[in-house]
Amino acid sequence: MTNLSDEQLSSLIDGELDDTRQRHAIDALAHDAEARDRWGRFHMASDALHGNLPEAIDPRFATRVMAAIEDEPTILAPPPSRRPSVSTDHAPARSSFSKRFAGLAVAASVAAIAVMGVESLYHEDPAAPRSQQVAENEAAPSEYIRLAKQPSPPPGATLASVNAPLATSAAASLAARAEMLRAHPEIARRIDPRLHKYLINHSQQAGRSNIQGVMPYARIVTYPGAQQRPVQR
Amino acid sequence: MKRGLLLLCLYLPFGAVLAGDDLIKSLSRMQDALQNLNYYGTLVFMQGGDVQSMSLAHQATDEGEVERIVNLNGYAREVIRKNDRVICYLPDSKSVTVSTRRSGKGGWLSKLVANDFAAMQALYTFQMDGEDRVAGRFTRRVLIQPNDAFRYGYRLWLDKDSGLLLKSDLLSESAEILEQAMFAEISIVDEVPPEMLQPSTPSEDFVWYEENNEIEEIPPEAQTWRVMEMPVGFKLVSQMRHLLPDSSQLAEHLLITDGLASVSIYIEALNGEPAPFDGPFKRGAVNVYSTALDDHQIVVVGEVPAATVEMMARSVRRQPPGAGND
Repeated sequence: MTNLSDEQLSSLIDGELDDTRQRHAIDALAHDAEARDRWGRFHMASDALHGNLPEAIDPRFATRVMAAIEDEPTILAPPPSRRPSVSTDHAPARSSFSKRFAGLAVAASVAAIAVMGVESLYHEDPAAPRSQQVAENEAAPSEYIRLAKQPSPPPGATLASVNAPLATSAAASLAARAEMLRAHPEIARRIDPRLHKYLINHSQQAGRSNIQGVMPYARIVTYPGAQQRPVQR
Repeated sequence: MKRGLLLLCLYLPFGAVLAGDDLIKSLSRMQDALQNLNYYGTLVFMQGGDVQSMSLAHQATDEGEVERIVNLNGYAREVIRKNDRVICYLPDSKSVTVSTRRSGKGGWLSKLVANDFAAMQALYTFQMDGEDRVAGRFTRRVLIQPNDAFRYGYRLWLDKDSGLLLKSDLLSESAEILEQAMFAEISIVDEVPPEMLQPSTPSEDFVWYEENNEIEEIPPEAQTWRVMEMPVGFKLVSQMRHLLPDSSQLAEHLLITDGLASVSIYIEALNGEPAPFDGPFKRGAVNVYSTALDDHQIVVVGEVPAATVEMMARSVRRQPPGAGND
C-alpha cells in the first residue's frame, strides 16, 4: 500500500527525498490517481509561488507528451556498467550513451506525470470552484492562466521540443499567485526552502525571549533538509 | 460586618496576585534551573506528524553557559550555544552560521517579574494545571493561554525537584498542539562529560557565516522602516542591520516581542529583481509572511499565528528618518 502523504509529496517536489524514496514515490504516483491529483496541485502552487509558471499552459500538453513518447522508438538500454571506471578504456562511449537515454526516459516519465498532474487541476478537481477549472473548449475563464492553443507537434518531434513550454520561466503575475494562494492555502503555506536562512537566524536571535526553552534550537536542527541523506564519514 | 466586607474586597485582588506570585516563582525557578543546572538527555521533538529525537547537554561554567543540541535523525545538524553566541553546524548545506541572540535586556522572565505581571495578564492567562510524570520524574504543569488570536499558548511541565522544563507544548489559537518537545530521559549531574559539549561535525570544509562583527544597531532617529500595525502588546526591541548567509548585502532586521513570543522582520533590497517570496508560509508553529514594497523584500517570521505575521508584513512602511518617533 503506497498512500503518499502530503508531506512525502512536498518532499518529492522539493527534491528532498533520497534516490530510493524518490523512486518509490514516483512508482506510487504512477498507480495512484488521487495522489497524482494532489501532486499536480502542489506542483502548480509551488511553481506559482516561485514565479515559475509559464505564460501559457496548454491543457492538451500531457496528451501531446504521451503521444510523443509513444512515437519514440523503444530504447533497450543495456544494464549500467558496474566495472570500476579505471578499467573501462573502451566503454565510455557506450555507457554515457545508455546513461543519456536512461536519463531521457526518466525525464519523459517525470514530465508526463507532471503535466498529467497539472492538467488534473483544471479538469478533474471536483472540489475546486468552477472558476479554477478550465474546460477545454471554453475561453480562458480566469485571469491567472492564459491558455494558448498550440499546434500539435510535427511527427518525429523530439521530446526536448515538446518539453519546451515547461521550461518557459516567464513569471506569473502577482495577481495569479495571490489567486493561487487563495485557492490552495493548504499548499501555499509550506515553507519554501529558501526561507530557511530567515528561520534559522530568527531562532538564533530570538532564543532568549523564548519561554519554550530549547524549542528554537530544536527547530533549527529539524528544518527540512536536515532529514535526508545522512552522510557517513 | 461592613468592615469585614471592605477587608474582603481589599484582600481579593491581593489573593489573585499571590496566585500569580506562586506561578512566577515556578517560572523563575525553571529559568534558574535551565541556566544553572548541569544536565544531559534525549529530547523528543514533534511537529505536525513528524517526530525526531535529539541529544541535549547543558553545562554552567565560570565563563557562563554551554549548551549543545544535536539531531539524532537524518543529518546531524547541531547547535552549540555559549552564553548568547549561537553556532549552528549545518552539514546538509556544509555551512556554519554564528549569531548572537538578542531580544532586548533581560528576556521574558525579568519582564514577568520586574514589569507588571498585570500587563502580561492582559495578553495571557496564567494558571497552574495539575501534576504529571515526565521522563520518570514528577512535574507540575503550567498553562499559559493567549487572550486573543494573535499569539500562541504554552503548556509547560516543570520538574518538582529541580524546576527544569521537562516538556513543553506550543498550542494554537484553537488550543491544538502545534509543537511538542519532551525529554525522554534526563540526567542531572555535577558535571556533563566534556565531549558532550564539543561539536561532532567535521567542519573544516564548511563555509562559515559570522555576523558578529557586522551587526549594526540602528538608533530610533535613523530608522526608516517601520511596522505601523501590531497586535496589542507587541513591541520593537531591536532594529539592526546584518548580513544573512548567502547574501551580499545587509538586511535590516526588526525584532519584536510581546514578552513571550517573538517575531523577526527581515527587509532586503531587491535591486530591481522580482521578489522571490510572496504570501504566507508555515512550518509547525512558525509562520512566515512575505511581501514586497519599494523594491524591497519583506519577510516576517515568528512562532505566532498566521494573522499576526500577515498584519505586521502588510503594515511595514518606509518613512523618512525621524518621522513617527514619539
